[in-house]
Amino acid sequence: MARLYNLARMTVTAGGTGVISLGSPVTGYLSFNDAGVTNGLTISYAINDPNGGGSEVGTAVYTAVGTTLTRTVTTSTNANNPINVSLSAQVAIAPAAAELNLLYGFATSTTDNAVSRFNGTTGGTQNSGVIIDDSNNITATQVDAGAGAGPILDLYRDSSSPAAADQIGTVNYNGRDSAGNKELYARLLGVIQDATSTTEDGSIFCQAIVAGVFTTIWSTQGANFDVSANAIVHGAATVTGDITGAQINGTSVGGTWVASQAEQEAATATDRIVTSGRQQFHPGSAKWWLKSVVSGGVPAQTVSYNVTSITDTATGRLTVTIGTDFSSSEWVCLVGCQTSSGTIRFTFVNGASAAAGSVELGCVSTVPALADPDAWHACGFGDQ
Amino acid sequence: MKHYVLHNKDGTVQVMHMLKQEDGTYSTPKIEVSKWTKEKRDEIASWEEIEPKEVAKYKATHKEAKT
Repeated sequence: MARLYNLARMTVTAGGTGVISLGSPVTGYLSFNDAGVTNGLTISYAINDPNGGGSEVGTAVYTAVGTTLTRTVTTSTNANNPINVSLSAQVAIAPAAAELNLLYGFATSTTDNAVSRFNGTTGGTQNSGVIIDDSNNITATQVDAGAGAGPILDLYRDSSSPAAADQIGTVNYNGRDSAGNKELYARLLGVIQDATSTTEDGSIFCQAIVAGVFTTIWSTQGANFDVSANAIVHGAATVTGDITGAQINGTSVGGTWVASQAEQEAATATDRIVTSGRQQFHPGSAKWWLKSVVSGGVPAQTVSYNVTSITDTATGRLTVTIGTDFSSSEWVCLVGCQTSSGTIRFTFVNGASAAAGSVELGCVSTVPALADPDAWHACGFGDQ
Repeated sequence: MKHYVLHNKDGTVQVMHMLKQEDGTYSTPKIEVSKWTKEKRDEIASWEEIEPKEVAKYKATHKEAKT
């Protein structure tokens, strides 16, 4: 905006449509020099020529030597061109309407609620792409088909001593509380982490009131995203790096995280989660086991895993049928027995009866003769 | 448990005790016997379900010669 000075009004000694020369102050007014204008300054002026030359306003460069004004017309009665100034004209320092409109925020365009801005080239105002509507909603529109960023909200903390941990630009979100107080409910805060030139680090903090306490919800730390408490993801989350931390809670895991049956059987992977439905496929795990207490010659299932039935084939013979079969009849059966003190029993596997899904256990006394133990103990290892 | 008497072709019997599975179901004698070796399967002539109180009555009488 060009400069303004009070009470300055002068006559003209050399007119025309170009540079004009100033004479003396009009009676009751000051010369430009007495009003405070110095050489080379740009001032806002208004010319009135009562002899038919018309009027104009604009900005002009004041030259003290020769006392001239080099005019740039903003508005005139000569179709906004310079008027032909006669020696009857008077020149005053006065603001143009565009400057006052800019000062008071009045838009000069027909766009409703548009904010005006100063045009440094013309010295006037022009419509901006910023609209503040009747509800104080602010919209900044940039008409640009390019790929660059914009419109941009640029917050600049011009500090002469920038340092780590300095808080810089902030966007605050305020409301009222139940007591009618203005309350800061949330904000986005920029922070300098390292102000060292060429290796600067910055962070942004998202903060909000939590149970009445202003709390950082998340922030950036270097290239990392730091969530202060729990992160709730309602959809799928893709993690391309490692997951580290205390524990994973949830309803299920899947994909390559979970050891497959083949991986369990290979027994070599050290980067897989073993699930309860597949752990038994490891070659070191029992595929079935059984303890059957024999009472009165009748065996009962006391405890077992993957056994569907036991058959009292005969005294000292117990057929075990398993749920999920082995892949062949070549598997290991371990059998033992529980006896009373002083009673000796020998157990064995009836090799002729071994199948992928069943096996017959045997038990003999020292006679030897087939005899029931107090309880059968048996299990099987192999490939399923 | 469910209990079945398996009647061998030679007139002796075996007693099968069907174990309740994790899902609350039971297998069947047909399935169980199908998992046995052919030699053991061929011994069976028929089967019937019995009450728990009858289990002692049908104590296995299978001959032991084949063991």
